[in-house]
Amino acid sequence: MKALWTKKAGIITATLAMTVGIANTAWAAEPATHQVTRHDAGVVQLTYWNMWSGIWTKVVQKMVDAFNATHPGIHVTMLSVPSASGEQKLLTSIAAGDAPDVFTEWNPYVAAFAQEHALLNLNQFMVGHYAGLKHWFYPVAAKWGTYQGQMYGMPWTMNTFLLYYNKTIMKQSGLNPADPPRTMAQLWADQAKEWRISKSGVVSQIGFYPSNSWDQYMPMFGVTAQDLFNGSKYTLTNPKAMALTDFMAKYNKYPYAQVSAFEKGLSGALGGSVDPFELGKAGFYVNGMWEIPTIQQFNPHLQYGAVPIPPAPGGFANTSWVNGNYNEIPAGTKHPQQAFEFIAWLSGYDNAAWAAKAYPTGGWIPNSPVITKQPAYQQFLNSDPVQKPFVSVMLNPHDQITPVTPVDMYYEQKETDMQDYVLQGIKTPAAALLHWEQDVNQQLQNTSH
Amino acid sequence: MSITHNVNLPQKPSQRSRASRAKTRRNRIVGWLFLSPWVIGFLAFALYPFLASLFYSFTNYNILSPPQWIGLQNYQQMVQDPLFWQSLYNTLYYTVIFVPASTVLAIAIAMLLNQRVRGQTIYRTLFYLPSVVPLVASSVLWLWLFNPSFGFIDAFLRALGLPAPGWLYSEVWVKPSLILMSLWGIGQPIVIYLAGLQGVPQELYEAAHLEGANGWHRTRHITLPMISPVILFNVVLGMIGAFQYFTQAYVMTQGGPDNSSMFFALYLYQNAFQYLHLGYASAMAWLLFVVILIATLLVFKSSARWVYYGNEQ
Amino acid sequence: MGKSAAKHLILIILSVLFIFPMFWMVSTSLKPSIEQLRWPPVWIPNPFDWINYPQAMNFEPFFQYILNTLNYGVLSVIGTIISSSLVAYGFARIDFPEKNVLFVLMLATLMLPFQVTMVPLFILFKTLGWVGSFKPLVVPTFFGSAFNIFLLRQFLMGIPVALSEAAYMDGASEFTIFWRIILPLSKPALATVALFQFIYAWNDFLGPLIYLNDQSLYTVSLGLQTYVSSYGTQWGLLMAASTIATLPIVLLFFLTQRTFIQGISLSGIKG
Repeated sequence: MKALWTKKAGIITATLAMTVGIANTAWAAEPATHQVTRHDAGVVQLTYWNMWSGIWTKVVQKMVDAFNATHPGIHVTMLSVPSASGEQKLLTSIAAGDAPDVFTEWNPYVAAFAQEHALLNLNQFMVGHYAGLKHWFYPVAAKWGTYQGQMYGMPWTMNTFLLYYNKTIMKQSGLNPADPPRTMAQLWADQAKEWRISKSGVVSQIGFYPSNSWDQYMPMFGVTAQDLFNGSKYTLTNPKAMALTDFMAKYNKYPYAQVSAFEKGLSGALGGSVDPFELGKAGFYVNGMWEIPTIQQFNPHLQYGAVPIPPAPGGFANTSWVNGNYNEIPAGTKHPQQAFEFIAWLSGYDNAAWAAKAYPTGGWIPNSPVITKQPAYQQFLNSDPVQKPFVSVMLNPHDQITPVTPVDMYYEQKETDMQDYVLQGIKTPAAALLHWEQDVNQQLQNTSH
Repeated sequence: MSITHNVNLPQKPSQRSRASRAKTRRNRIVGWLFLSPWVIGFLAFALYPFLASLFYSFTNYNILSPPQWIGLQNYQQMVQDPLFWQSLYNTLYYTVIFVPASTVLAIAIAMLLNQRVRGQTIYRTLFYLPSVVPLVASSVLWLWLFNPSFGFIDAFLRALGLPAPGWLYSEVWVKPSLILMSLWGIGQPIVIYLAGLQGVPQELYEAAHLEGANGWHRTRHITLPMISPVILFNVVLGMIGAFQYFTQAYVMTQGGPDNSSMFFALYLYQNAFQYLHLGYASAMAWLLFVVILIATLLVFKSSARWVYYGNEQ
Repeated sequence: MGKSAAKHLILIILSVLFIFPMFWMVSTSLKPSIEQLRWPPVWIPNPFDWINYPQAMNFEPFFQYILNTLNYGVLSVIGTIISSSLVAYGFARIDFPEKNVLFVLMLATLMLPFQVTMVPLFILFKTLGWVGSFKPLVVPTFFGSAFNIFLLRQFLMGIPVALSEAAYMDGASEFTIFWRIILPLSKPALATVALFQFIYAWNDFLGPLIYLNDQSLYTVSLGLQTYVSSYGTQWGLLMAASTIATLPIVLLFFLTQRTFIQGISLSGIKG
């Protein structure tokens, strides 16, 4: 027995020792490809962090490689940080003075960072050759990255949110699939016909359920960012916001626990999800353009279309709430000019034609009409016309964003709570909005100096 | 059975002989020598972060700018924060239920696995397996399992005609669901108990059997006391871990629905890295520290009554 | 006879409960994308489609990640065994007045949530210049880990004091007792510590996330996150990669079980 144990231990130790040996040689060896020019003298080294994962990492790496190839004086090294705890890593690094030169952020931290002077004001670079950047972006895209009149986050790839509709389910419920709802009232009436709930309360098909962010309905009710934030305080209990919340509250007739489980579908950890629309079990669903390639991959026979979310009285048609990914430069960078060059290049300013070809590989909506108009991008849109309205809404002057304040993250967290209260009928819309408003204003007070 | 401790109770100086004092001095030197790696590590890697976080708790610190001293404000704010109290309740709920449940279950399974059955090695691997599955995969798995519409558990319950709860989407069931998932991952304590069980001399069982003791009697008077050092270990560490329960809630429920799964450590994390209030989060952390410390000391104090070291009869 | 059958039955039922989610994990890894979302779900895919496995390995330099993680694991095990055995011996086998206070202090280091110690600890390592390497993860293991010290202490306290006393009478130094008598007796406990530390390193996510700034140094846990994204999780790849990530541990455990579950062997030592 003892001999056997010693033998096994010996084998295991030997294997491990070998592997450790190999691993250490690998560590000592030159890492492949991207760091090749690391030691060239006179080349400015930039570190760039983002939170892309999956195939998008590769798409972005190609973009970085293209930049490095066309800018011999600058070398950018990219690091893909898992989004699960990306903020932790970023914040910890900034605290220790170890921040990257550029990072892409898609959570609303712009104002919080800008207020603490942790980001470079990008307007200072928009001179000379780059002066045109001031008017180059879609207006709504520029708004997200702007705090107190200055741009701190440069728009890169944008998201719009439209109403997907399942044509098969419409037909089955006696609706005309060529005539998707054009008003909120119409949506309410149409979707009511599509629910399938068994006697024991099990949901097997949804009509429509407003489980996505409350913000995304702002333009449909005419709610603007100024309505919600007057420059120093949140003013969430205004009549238009109330109308929006009332619309959501109507849906509390549907069983919350069952439906939210159904809506989240085969939800993956922290946002990765396959939703019931992709499964063909939801009649109407609000989502971004990235839904389309997922449907292609997992359920290519689905019959569907997408239209801008229909407006309510006082709201606007053919609009969308917009957010996106922003490139930011931490204040401590040693190479501000080159960092700016890099992000300007990524945004397609100098190279719209290239951007028009590159962005479709990520399924991204451009940040500027200049890119959209390029033949390559138009070709991409025409290849699957269902994509077109996602991009055309970017031009609408009534597009909205969430107010940009230093407590945006808190605002969003409490927004989810507010929606939950309303959809469960725990609070009336008025009470829920008031609670949210008081909460966020308190946080704003705690945060300001 | 006598209780053995390897701890010297301090005696009055006048009662100690010179030889005994020399022994104490010698022991002290040797003791500190053996402990020196840890002491150095503590001074190097643990002391500064500890003191720093205590300092932060008296400041307004958003990580991006230097901390500003605000005295006890964070603590005052804390006791007035309803979410602070709710998260504390959620964590206590979890700890009070999970620690006893996991202890009983782990010991029971370890005793089962200690039997001589065919395929022993395979069974043990099967029970250990879930605790090494990467969290990113197991959380996806359980989200699917618990799904009231698509998931297997409710489908199974419905097929049996039993009520199918909302699990992770129900305020009432979300904490029990997470506890269930944690119970699935008790492979490590099981292995430790198994190791402890194997150290119980067979002679004791044989002697008891001769005296006519039945299974439960044997368990209560031989097995449990003999593995009590290991029980202490698992209970203390299980408790410390349960008070800081965070990752699964962060990944799967994000505190919902309605903050019913907002555990203390999760709320702490949000304050630190989402709302950029590391000062407030540090105050919360130090409060939790005190709670855990008191609880642990209480467990150790009680251990004098039920933990037996050594092979003394 | 009935008793044995009953035991078997309970074991089988419990094992099924425990193993069932894993079964689904492997099942999912053997389905191509289109099959993932079938409802009602397909338990045993027909045919087995192995496509996810090579894809998962090629998507990211997974082999490199595995090597990195192995390195981290082995080094931290070495550090842990050396330091934790020494410290645990000090706590378990030597009496001196400050012992209990130090023991509580050691446990106390486990009681402060990592979220608040992360920032100052990172600053500390940054000052030392260790950020960007595995040093912040490996070096501290050479100074003992509270969990392992505590575990070893419990086992060591179960060895009769008489053994040490006899050797001491014979004029042995404390270190000799440690090295020649106690350590050999605690091989199974040490093996347990080694296994646990290795698994901890293998699955460690936060440490590598914070301290590594070079993709080529990434570990398995970081690599697995690649398959989860806000734009759509790659189920098949995720499950395949997770299965690959779990296999070495399972194998290790299966092969070495007998060694450490044996407990501290005290046969022949009585009185």
